[in-house]
Parts: sequence; C-alpha cells; structure tokens
Amino acid sequence: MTVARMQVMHGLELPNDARRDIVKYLADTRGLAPEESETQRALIERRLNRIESFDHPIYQEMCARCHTGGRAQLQRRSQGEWEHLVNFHIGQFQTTEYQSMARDRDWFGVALDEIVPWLAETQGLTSEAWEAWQQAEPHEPEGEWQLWGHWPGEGDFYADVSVVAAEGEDAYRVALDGAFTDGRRLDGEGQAVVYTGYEWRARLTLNGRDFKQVLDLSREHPGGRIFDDHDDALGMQVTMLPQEAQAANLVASLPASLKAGERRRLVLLGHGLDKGEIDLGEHVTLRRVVERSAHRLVMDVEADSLLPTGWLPVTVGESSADALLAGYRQVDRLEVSPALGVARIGNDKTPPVSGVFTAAGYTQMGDETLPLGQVPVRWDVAPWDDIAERDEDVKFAGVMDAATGVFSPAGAGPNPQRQYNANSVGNLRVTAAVEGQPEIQDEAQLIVTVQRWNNPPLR
Amino acid sequence: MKRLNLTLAGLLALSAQPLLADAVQDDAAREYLVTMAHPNQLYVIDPEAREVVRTCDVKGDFGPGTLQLSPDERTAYVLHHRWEEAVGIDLTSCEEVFRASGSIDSIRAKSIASLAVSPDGSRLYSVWDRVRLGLDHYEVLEPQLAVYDTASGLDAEPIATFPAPRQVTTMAAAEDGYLYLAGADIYRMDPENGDTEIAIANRNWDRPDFSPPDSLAIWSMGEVTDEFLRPYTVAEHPGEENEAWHWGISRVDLTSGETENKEIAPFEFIIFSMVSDPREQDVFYGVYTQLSKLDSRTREIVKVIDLDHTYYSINTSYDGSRIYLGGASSDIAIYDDDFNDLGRIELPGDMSTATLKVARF
Repeated sequence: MTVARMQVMHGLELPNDARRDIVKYLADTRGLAPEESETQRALIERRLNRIESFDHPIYQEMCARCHTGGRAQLQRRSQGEWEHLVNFHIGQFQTTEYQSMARDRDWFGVALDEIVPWLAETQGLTSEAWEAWQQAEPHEPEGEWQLWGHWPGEGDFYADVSVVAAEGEDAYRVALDGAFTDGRRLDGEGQAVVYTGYEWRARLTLNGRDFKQVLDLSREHPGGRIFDDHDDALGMQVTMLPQEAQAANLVASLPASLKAGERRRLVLLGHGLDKGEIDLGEHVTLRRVVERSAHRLVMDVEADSLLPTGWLPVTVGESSADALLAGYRQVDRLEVSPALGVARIGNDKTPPVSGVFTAAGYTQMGDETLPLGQVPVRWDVAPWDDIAERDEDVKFAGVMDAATGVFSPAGAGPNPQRQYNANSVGNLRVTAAVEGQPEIQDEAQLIVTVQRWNNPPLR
Repeated sequence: MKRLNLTLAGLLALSAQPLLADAVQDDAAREYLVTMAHPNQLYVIDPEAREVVRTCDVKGDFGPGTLQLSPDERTAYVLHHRWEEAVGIDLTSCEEVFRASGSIDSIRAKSIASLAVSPDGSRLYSVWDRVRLGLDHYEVLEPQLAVYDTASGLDAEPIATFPAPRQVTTMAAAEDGYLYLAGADIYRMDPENGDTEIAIANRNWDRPDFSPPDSLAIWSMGEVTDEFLRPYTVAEHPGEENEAWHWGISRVDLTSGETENKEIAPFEFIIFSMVSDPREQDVFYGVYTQLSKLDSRTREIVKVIDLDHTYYSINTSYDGSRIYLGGASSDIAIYDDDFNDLGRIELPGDMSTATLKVARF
C-alpha cells in the first residue's frame, strides 16, 4: 500500500514488474512473522462484518473510526516513524482533525502523545518473532494438495490442487480439479507468489470466475480465503492439506452432519483412505462409492429413520473419528451470521458489496449442543424497524436470494422514487428458517449503505 | 427607501440586465444570491427572476467554495482549488481581482472554510492548515492566520502572519476590527498583533450539567444579520435519567462585539447550517434534510418541513421574507417565511460545501 500511495498520491512511475519485485523484497526482508500477522488474518483475507476490539481506551475512536484498527496492527515502526504516520494523516487528509470523534479533542496532540507511544511499545520496529522467523525454513508449496470449503450460493466443494514452480522468485502455477458435493464439476487454474516465506497470494479462475486467494502456509493445515476482488463479501474460507502423509487419518467431512432418513453425498477427507473397510455405524448405509483415493472418499449414503442424535462413528480402514460427522433428527437452534452485516449499493465504477449470510444449525443432545454445520434454510428480508417500513427499504435496497442467503444490493445514486431522493439504502431484518422446520429461525440485521470510495487492499 | 419614479422602478423590476442597477441610487440595489458550484463556476443569481444572471469561471478546481463578500458586496472572495487558494471575483464583471495561495515552496496549506474580510474591505484573512512536504515524510506545522491586502492583485502574499489555533473553520471580522475564529472555542483575535483569547468557551466551557458541544461549522453566512453564528448540539445531564439533547448557538454580534451562548430548541433532527431571522434575532432557520424554524425565546421548534433532498447552506433575504437553501446538490430552493415553496433555481453543477451568500448592489 505504501508503494501504491507513492504512485497514486506522489506520481511515482513504476513498471508493474518492478513494483512486484519491490513489494516482494520488502515483504521478504521487512515483513511480519506468522504469529505477528495471526491476529489480523481476517483483515488480510478481507473478511467483512467484523467488530474489532483493542487493548487501548481510545485507539478505536482515534484511528479505527476511518479504517480498521488492524491496519496499523499489521505495521511495525520505530517511535519516530509512528510520529511520521500521524503527521502524514493530518498532512494528507486535512479534514481528519475536523471530523466527529476528532473535533471534540486536540486530535493531533492526542495522537502524538497517547497513540504513538502505545504503538511504539506494542508494535516497535524489531521483534523476536521476526528475528526467529528469518532463521526458519520457508514453507514449500510445491506438490499435490487437496482443498475444501463452502462457496456461498454454490455449496461445499473439494478439489485436488497441483502446485508447480513457475518463472520468478517464489512463483507458482496452480491447477484445481474438483467438484461440489452435489456432483457438479469445479475446475480452476491460477498463479501464486509466496511472500515472507508463508504468505500465499494467488489469482485463481474457478469455473470461469476470477478470484483472489490468501493463504497462510505456516499452519499445519494451510488455510485462508478465496474471494472476489470486486465484491469482497463473496468469498470462501478454505483449508488445504497435503495429499500425502505418513499416517492415515480423517480430517474433514462434507457435510458435517447427516439427518435421519436422508440420502445424500458424503465426502471424507484425510489420508490413507484408499484401503480397508468403510463403517459409518449401524444407522448409515453406504449405497455407492463414487470415488476413492488415499486422500478422499466420495460416497452416496443413506441414514435410516432411527438415526440417533449424536456424533456418528466413522471408520475408514485404520482411521476412525468420533467427532467428525454429527447425526441429527431435527434442528433445535439456528444461528445466522453475521449478526450485523453491511452491504453496499454500487455501479460499474464502484461495484456493489453483497450481503452474504450463512445459517449454522445446532441440535441438543442432553446438555450437549451438537454443531451441524450449515443446514438447508430459506431466506427472507423484512423492514428492520418502523422507519425502514415507512421508507419501503425492502422494495428499494436490493434482492435477497431465498435459497442462498446472498443479498444483491440495488444500484447506487439518488433515487427519485424515494423521499429526499435518497439512495437505495436500507435497514433490513434478514431471516433464515430451517427447511421443513419453519418454526426454527434466526435473524440478523443488514444495513444496505452507500459505496466506499477509498478501497485499499487493507481497509 | 427613497422614492423612485414609477417608470424607473418598473424598468428595474423588468430589466433583463439587473446589474444596470448600479447606475442608480444605492437604495435601489437589488438582492442577488452568490454561490459556487462544480466544476469551478461562481454564480450570481437573481432570486426574484429565479435565473442566473452571471456565471464566472474561476480558474482551478472546486473546493470548498467558502464565500465572503466585500463590504460593498460587489466582490466575492472564495476558498478554491482544493482548499488551497483564496480568490476574489468582481461580481459585476467576473473579473478576477485577487488571488492568494497559502502554499509556499515545500509547505502545502489548506483552509477549512476560514475566510473573512475586514469591515473596510482592505484586508482578507484566512487560517491556513500547513504541512511541510519532505522527500520521505510530512511535518505538520502550526496553523497560520494570514493577513492579505485585498489590493495585492493576483499573486498576493500575506502582509502579516500569526500563529493560529488548530481546528479552526469559519471566521468573521467584526466592526471593531477583531477577528472571530470558530475552533475548539470561539476565539477573538487581534489581526494587528495576533493576540488571541477565548471569546466564547465551547470545548472548554465550565457547565457541569452539560456535555461539551459538538459543531460542524463550515458555512460562513451571517452577512444579512451582521453576526457570526455557530450552531451546536449538546446533551444536558449526559448519561443521566433526565438526559436531554438541545440545539444551541454561539453568536457574536459583529456590530457591537457582544457574545452569547445558549440552547435554543430540542435536538430532534440534524441541522447543517443556521441563520437568524433578520427581523427577530431569537428566531433561527436551520437546514439539512429538513427546513426548520426554531425560537429560542420559547425554546421550541416552531415549524419543520421535509425537503425534497438535503441542502447544506441556508440564508435569508434582507427583509426576512424569503429563505434560500443551497449547497449539496445543484438546485437552490426558495421558501417564504411560512415555508411555502417559491420555486427552484437549477445550476449545472453541484454546490457541495459552497456557501450561499446574499449580496446587494
């Protein structure tokens, strides 16, 4: 972002390949260790609708009222450089000290006297973590992996991922070969660069759609997010696992639960799954093995009507798992997330930001609450309050897809059909109801607001 | 008003060249609206005829469009070119008669709506927020009050500068020569020597039952009533059961130098700018998405109407019979003092943060 700022604000002319080299050099030699970026993975992955909290009484109103507080948490500076940053803020964005939560105080003085020393102390230029990380072996991404996640509106998916070296330092070519759990194909390819020995940044095309991908390769199971660069809300948390491993194991199940009486596709992911007996307990019948390899088992299964509520015993050959796949008879509780979402109207120049909601189910087993993962629901929106009803926000603000929980905001700009020529903003109540159990519901608030005009990679 | 012969009065009323008015007695001066709009035009508007009578291109980019008038009201000074220049425009000819940049060499200066003209018209004042642009870092400097001779022409340099408080927005010059600056408090500054004192305490007021006031004041009206007015919102008994929110005003009478600070009505909706009624100084008109009339004698909202869209800047005719609304979008709305809609004047561009001034000449 600093290099981009030099270009945008100060007229630096820099060829793209030189810019990439500079960013790579700076990231590799002056970056953050994995534990230093750990608390801000959500920001790096552009996960929206988060509420931050920090161990400082006024950091949020001083700094994080304009941008995330995480943005500064991803920087390390000496006290003098933190002071430069405060000077830059007033010098570049003159109205900073006139805005709400600034004009009630001597913003510049408070920033220098109270914020800078705290940042210099908690985020000084040098750290033991970074010293140690520079001695560590970088994580090598070349090889065969498998990856899985949930694509909003499309469903659970899995894919084999092949990573091979490409021209350029720490550059790779990526190929994906996979499927959704409903059987539809999922293919993709892309290019990646690894920064700082663990920060994976890729451009991917999945089923013809362009995405970006951020992964932290330092974890045992590298994880991160694939997202639409033009609509950050549309993204999927993913986990990546080497296809080969020393020991057999079961790592994940897609889906995470089976309902009594249900026949469906079940995908188990892990290692050493190509040999031995498959046993899903007495109430789950294996109807067909669709695909079986060392790292993946794709089956059609049927749960009988007597399926008990609780973790189902899952055994494949030598591996077994007792808390991987939940059986349930009904959903007892639904939890919609995010509880408060913000979507943005848009146009060609400033694309809209969707509202993307998910609904996790839970069932009760005695005192224990059993997580079921995402369960099938129907989505709807209603006015959040009397004002939203009077202003017909439901009519103007956009459209909720009843099947997917993805809200598509309306077009931007003054709307002559509305009072005050207001934009097509809205304050909506999002409701999810379990399919077949309409009385089991949860709701969330969705604020549909105006565009953001300033959209750096780290907001 | 001196008696005009009927023929001349009729001619003036019907004149397609209203600025010919300067050929007759001062008392026959007509009232015009003056404002700025995107991309960089200053407009002189006849509110009676509801038409633009003069469009002046002002070199440079828009912003903020803060306006002040010379005492004879024939010259408008505007903060312009991305808040970095003060420009004087002759409203009768569009001629540019003054231009000053706050920036010098590596120091970039911007003014957040701080502009005032001395009562004799010989001095223009601005507070510049300054930053030194180094090769690899910025250094924020102390804001500066710059005093200009309005006869300095198009490359004007300040004839004096003095340190100014941070966070100053609107300002005004009083009859006695003092400057009033709206910042954390309302400051009184002597432009002869830069001596500054608090004229009205706001952030630093000693009112135990009240929160500090909040004010977003970047509209410099007050020429009709010869006062410097800053509205604020405030909580009485904040955090307590009987918490009550009010609109209040800090006000300087620019003729007498008298100051006052008081709550005037309940805070029930946002107001961006406010003026008092020229016929009754305790009646106030406010605008944002509503047009409102507040009476500080009864501390009541007397009347409020929804507008067709948001307006930022409000003013009144000198006789108080008409209310003018501008800023934000591209149309100026005119209402009578009973809030009857008298029509609109469309401009080609948005007025955004520009002031809507009333000039007579």
